[in-house]
Amino acid sequence: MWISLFRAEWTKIIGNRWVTAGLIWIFPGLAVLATIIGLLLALFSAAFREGLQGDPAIWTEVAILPWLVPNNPLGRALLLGFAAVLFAGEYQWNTWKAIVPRSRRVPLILVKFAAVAAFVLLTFALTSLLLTLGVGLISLAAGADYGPIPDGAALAEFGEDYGLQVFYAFLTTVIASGIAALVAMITRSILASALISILIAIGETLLLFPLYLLAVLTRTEGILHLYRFLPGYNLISLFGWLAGETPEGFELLSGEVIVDGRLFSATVLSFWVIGLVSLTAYLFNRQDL
Amino acid sequence: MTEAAIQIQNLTKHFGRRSGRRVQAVDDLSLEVAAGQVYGFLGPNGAGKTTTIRMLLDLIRPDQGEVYLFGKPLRRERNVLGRVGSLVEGAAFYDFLTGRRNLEVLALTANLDLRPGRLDELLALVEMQDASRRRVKGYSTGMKQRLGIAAALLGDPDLIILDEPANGLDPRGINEVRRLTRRLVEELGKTVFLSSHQLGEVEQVCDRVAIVHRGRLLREGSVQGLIHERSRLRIEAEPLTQAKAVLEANWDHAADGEGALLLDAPRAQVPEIVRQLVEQGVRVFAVSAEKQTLEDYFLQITEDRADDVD
Repeated sequence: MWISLFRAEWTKIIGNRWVTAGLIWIFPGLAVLATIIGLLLALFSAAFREGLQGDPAIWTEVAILPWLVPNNPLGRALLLGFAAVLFAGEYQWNTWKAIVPRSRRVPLILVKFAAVAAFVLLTFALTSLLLTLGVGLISLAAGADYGPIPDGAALAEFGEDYGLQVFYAFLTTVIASGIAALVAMITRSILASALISILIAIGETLLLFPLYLLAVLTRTEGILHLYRFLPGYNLISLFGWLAGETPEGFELLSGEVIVDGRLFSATVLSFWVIGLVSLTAYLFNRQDL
Repeated sequence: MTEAAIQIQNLTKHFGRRSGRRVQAVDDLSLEVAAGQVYGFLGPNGAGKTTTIRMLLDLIRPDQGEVYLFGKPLRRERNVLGRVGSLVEGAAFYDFLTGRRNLEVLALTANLDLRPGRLDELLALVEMQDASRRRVKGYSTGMKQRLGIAAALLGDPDLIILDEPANGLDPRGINEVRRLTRRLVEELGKTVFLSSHQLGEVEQVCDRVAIVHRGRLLREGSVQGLIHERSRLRIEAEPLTQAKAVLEANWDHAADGEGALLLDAPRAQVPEIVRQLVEQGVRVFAVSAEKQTLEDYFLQITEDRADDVD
């Protein structure tokens, strides 16, 4: 049953060409476009060749580059839009009524999450592969190095970094899908779902300011600690750690700076993932369609 | 005894509050649909037909009451919906997929193991083979409706629930749906639960009907039985004014109709009507029952009900 449901979701995603192309396939498309432009520059621009030879690309960094997209506001907006189409589409197209009598609701919604996550992760993996190969071709054409040599140590280090980035992208995708799914259940409209989800995602990162205000007004600094449990803060925090930097964190009224560790952020985000998916499944199971 | 395909017991559903009032969509509705027949489910707009159908398909949950499909309580044995195919409130498909791909997606969702050629068979049944490889986006309403009927038949269900299946179809299409509906019951032994506004169609195709109004069951019975339950009698008598006074004193309002009186009354009461007229010195020349259609009957009882309420 699960495989059958997944195939159905996959068929719908692949079949919705314009949406999928505009919101997700744009990334491998950009990788191919960047390769073509880079190759043309490598072939016809001496300055470009010299620049690349002087500062050669590193494939372990190039391969990870596409996975940084979810941390970019535009990238996250595209993910939210994509999830909004998939979840709210069933309401707007009135298709739940054809599907729901034939299948159990909870598997239906869980498979939708799985299909969105799998599709996004596979697309980023493909983008990563295309970009890594593309930059390799450009380096070759420019006569530049393209290290490091993929020996055991380099591969092990790369594997760990890559795995963490994939995990990060997975968290971002599922959280975006969860927000979009919940909004879709309320609005039953693709456009409203996309816009409100994006507003929530942006607004949530700005929530620190009202919390500051509330903390000042009530003279309760503890309120600011709520911010530590929001997904946006923890995504930024986790992204900082994954990028090998210490995240900026945020400042309490006393001047103390809060910087949470990688494990804390990953745990909070995991709770958000489980919470959003469970809440969506619970509400969908009870919803009148 | 034939197994009931559908049993609805005291089904009740209300929705939020509109203009400060709770909207009672279905109110203590009970009915039973025996297997192997075409059962019409009639009612004016807002009567609760679609809400009832949605409860039959577990799209919405009743506030009270139970739905049994083939003797199994839907609430606890939802798998019984595997024996049901449906078309609710017009066909809905993924516009960006072809007709055939839509059916494949529905089959995958329902985890149906379709035998080879089954899709072609269904598409041929609804005459959609040629258009099946085109995207649904370009389909007319009638084509979508036909594809919707094919989708309802995908899993070879025992019970087919069709909500306004003739919507958007031309007269030829309506005729085809009618023939298909009868064929499903007569040749394939299915049960069809049909909601429709097209009362002429219902009269031709249904064995039994239920009429609902404001969420309540008004009447239930065989089509012929209901039609003959009330009839419009044409009474030719003299003097007409005296005849009218007698009828209105004992029966209902009698309308004037070109040298005769028209009276809504059951055929079975004709002897009593004649007896009273004769006793009062009225000369009766002829009493004939005008042929009534299901539509006449439907309009009469829903109007009566509206009068009662208003």
